[in-house]
Amino acid sequence: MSYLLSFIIEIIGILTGLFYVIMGVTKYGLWAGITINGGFMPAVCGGLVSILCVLQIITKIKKGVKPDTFDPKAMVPVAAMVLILVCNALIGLLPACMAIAFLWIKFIEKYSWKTSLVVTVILYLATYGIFKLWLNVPFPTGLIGELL
Amino acid sequence: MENILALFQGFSTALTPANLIAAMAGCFMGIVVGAMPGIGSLAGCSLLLPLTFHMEPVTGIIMLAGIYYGNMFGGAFSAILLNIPGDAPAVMTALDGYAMTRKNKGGKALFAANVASFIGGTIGIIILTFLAPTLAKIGLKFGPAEMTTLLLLAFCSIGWMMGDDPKYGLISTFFGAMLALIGMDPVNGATRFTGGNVNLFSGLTFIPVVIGMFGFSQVIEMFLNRSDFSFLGGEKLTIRGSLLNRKEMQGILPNAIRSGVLGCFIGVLPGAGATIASFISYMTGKRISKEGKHFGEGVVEGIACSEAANNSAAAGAFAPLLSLGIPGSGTAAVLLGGLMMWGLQPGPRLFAEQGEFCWGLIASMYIGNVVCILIAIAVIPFLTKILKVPAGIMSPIIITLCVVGAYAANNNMFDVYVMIFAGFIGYFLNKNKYPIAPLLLAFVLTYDLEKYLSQSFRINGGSASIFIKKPIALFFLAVMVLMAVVPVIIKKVKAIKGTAKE
Repeated sequence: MSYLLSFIIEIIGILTGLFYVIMGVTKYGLWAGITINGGFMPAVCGGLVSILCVLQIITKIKKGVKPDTFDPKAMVPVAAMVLILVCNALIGLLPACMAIAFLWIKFIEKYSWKTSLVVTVILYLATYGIFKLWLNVPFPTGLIGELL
Repeated sequence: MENILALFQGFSTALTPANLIAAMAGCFMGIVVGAMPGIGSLAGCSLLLPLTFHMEPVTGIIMLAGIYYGNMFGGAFSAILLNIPGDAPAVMTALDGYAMTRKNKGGKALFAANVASFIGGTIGIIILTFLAPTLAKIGLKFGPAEMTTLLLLAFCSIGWMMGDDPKYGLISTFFGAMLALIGMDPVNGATRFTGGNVNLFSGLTFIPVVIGMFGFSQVIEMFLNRSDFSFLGGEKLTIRGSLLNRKEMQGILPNAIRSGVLGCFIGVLPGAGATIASFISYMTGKRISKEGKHFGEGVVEGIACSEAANNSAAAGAFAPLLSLGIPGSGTAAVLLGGLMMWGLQPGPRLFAEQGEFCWGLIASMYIGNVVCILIAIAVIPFLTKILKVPAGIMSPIIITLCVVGAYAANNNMFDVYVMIFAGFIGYFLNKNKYPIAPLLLAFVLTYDLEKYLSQSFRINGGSASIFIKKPIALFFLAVMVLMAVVPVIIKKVKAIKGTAKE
């Protein structure tokens, strides 16, 4: 698995590249009358990515592959984002961001209640002031916001 | 001489209290909006256009030009301090700017960006003053064949030049192209690779992709390797410590001047704009500058190239807009809308019929450029305070900015999903040492490349000979071949010399 991770980008590149070539040739078509068709660029780009990724794998093997690892901690920021999306459906985007920012500062970074609260309030005022009040960005208000 | 006299008359128009206040307000708002990730110059000008509805035409367009200009200055701030480019032209600035911030030289990077922006902007405006109609005509000589080869040159040069092994850069470039191919194809208007998702019909939006790849992937990195971000919350940055020394100024000047001239000419080209200008100028600087081999590691010369070029291109985009009524970029199209809203018809007769307006606008650009650098330098002490925020607090702040910025790009939650996905991809690319800048460049250029390629074949009856028949296209092709062949030859010659010595 760790060796597979060392080639993750190249493997994804080969697979998506081949997919683009197949779709480009079979579905969208390469040439139409006197000009390129919708499949020309996907086929060219996909083909080049696949070839380059194969070459890259060969180069890496020649140089000697070091096993790679994936740190599951990398999923914490992604989980925070997913939580924002879930909370957004309930309380709206800005409050969701602020709630997660507060929880992050307090429980992951272990700052005091006071620091966590002050930073969150300043962040809220800045984003609300610039994006909502000044630039009039219509943020989603969530289920609760709609009920209110 | 005639132009200088007209310019002086323009200054008398631009220096009225109302116009001066409009220019200053525009510059200030432009800088603030430009520094906000996700807004960018196009959205910034569009959002702030209603502010000018009740103004006199000259005052209104002066304010809009100030916003446009300020955006170019402000775009560098978040790129340098947070590694989140406010807009596409600031992507190249992030490479060296953020690398300098990591070396505790964030203040110097901001200063370098401001000085280079000022130099580039001034060069662009001077060229615009004397050569607006000529420049516009040069721009018109760029048909589909010329644009195709120019875009191909940009495409290939960044792939070859990023990193020691060109394969990394090229793979990254074509990944970017593949992402850009999602959505409506410019040849037939049919959708590709959308999986029936309506949100993908118009393709992936650039802003969420760039915010994710730079900003969110950095949060993941920050969370995993906290020791690499010890510059945050560290030593205090003083304004004196941020000033550039003589050697740094000597490094900035030639790069800013060259990029200023290059950027202005690229800015004139229809559809090219500030993004391509900053990319090509950066790549040119990397190749011919003394510090070229250190570009990307945090050198002021790299910042000078991209910042001077994008500000100069912003001025250059006004040449076809005013002289021919053709907007050179999306933002210029918004400005064109503003002009038409006030009953002005840009085109060859505008300078003759509305001389006061045109020269007032050009004069206001000189003033705006000075105002922008004064504001931008004045805010450095406040901006550098951002770097005193510890990494633990910075992470949730960046997460919030990423989410809000991605959403604000189109007011669509789908863009937030795209940002998260792009961030995860960006993290893996970084981890495997793939440069992200080529991916973003290709992402921006692919749509136009496909469009111009299709048009080139169409106007030449399906034959590729158009790329050889047209001298400008042939020139770009020759440069491309030289760029690919010369390094290989030099490498071979060095190897032969080395063997001979042994």
